[in-house]
Amino acid sequence: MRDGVPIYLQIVEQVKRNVALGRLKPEEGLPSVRQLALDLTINPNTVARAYLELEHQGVIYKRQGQGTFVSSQAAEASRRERHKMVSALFEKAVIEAVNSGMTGREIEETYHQLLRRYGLEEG
Amino acid sequence: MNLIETRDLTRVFGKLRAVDSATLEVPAGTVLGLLGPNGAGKSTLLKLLAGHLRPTSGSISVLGAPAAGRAPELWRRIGYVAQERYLPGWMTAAECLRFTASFHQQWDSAKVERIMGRHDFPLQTHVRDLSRGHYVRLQIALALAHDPELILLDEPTSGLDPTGRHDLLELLIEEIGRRGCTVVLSSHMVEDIERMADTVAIMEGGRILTLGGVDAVKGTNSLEQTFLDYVNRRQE
Repeated sequence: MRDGVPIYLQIVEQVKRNVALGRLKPEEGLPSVRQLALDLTINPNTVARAYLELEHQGVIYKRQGQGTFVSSQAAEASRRERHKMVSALFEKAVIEAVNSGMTGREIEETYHQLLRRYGLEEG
Repeated sequence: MNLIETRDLTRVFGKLRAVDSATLEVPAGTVLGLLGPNGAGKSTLLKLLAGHLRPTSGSISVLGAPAAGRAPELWRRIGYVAQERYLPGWMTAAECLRFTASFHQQWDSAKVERIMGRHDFPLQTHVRDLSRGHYVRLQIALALAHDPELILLDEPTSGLDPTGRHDLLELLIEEIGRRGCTVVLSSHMVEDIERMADTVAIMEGGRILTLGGVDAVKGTNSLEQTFLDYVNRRQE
C-alpha cells in the first residue's frame, strides 16, 4: 500500500495498467470482490468501490451472475494509452541518441536495422 | 440506514470521562475503525455499543433500539469480542461452545469449525489455559457463529502473531463480503484500520477528534501520520 493514495484508487490504477500492458485481455474475468479482498487483505467494500469506478470508466463490466470482465472498449482505450507509452519510449531513445552525438541519419539507420531484424520493413 | 447512532454519548467513571460527548453514525454494511492510544475510550465506547455498559448521559441507538434494556432478540443480532478475558476459565473450549450455542436458534457449526478447526484446536483444554491465539479464535467463533448483523471487535489482533492476525482479517473479510454485516473495530494498529475500515474515528481522552471516510481523513498523508498529528495537537 502506498501512503496518500486511497486503496481503491490503487486498485483502479493497477487494473488499468495491466489492461494497457495486455496482461489483462478483453473479456477476461477479474477475481470476485470477495476473492480480491481476501488476496489483498482489505475490506471488500473497498474492492467493490474500485470495481464500480472501473465500471464507470468503461474498463470493466458486470455480466449478471457470471462476474466481472474486461470490456473490449477498454482494450482499445488501453491500446491508445500503450501507444502513448511507446512514443514516449521512442522519444527517450532519440534524446539519448542525440546526447550521444548520433546524427539524424545514424538514428534513422539504427531504426531501419531494428525493423529489418524483426521482419517489419515494408517494400 | 444507520445501524448505530449516538448523540453526545458520555460515560463517566468517578472523575474520568471515559467517553465524552461521542456523536457518530454507522451506516449498515460499513466498517468503522476506532483508532486511538491506550485509554482513549475505545473499549468503553464498544461496551456502550454492545450494551454491556449504560451511558451516563447522551443517547445511543443500536439496530434501531436504545441500548439500555435491550431485548434478547437484539442481543442475538450482535457479536461482541472484548479485549479482556471474560469467558469462564473453568469451562473447556468445547463446553464454552455448547453453552453459548444453547442461547441461539441460529448457529453455524460449519463456520465454527472453519474458525477453530484449521489449527487443531485444543477443544478439551480449559479456557484459562488457552494461548492468546486460541483464546481469540474461540472468542471470534462464539461471536460470529450466530451470524450477527453487527460485529463489535475490541483490539482483536493485539497479541496475535502475523499468521493469526492475517487469518483473523481474512475471516472478517469473508463475513463482510458474504453477508454485508456492519463492523466496529478498534485497534491501535493503524494498518488494520486502513485495510479494513470504510470510516475511521480518531479518539483521544474519551473524545472523537475526527470522524470520516478513511481517504478523506488522511488526505495525502499516511493514516499513521494523520493519527499522530491529531493526537499530538490534542495533547499540546
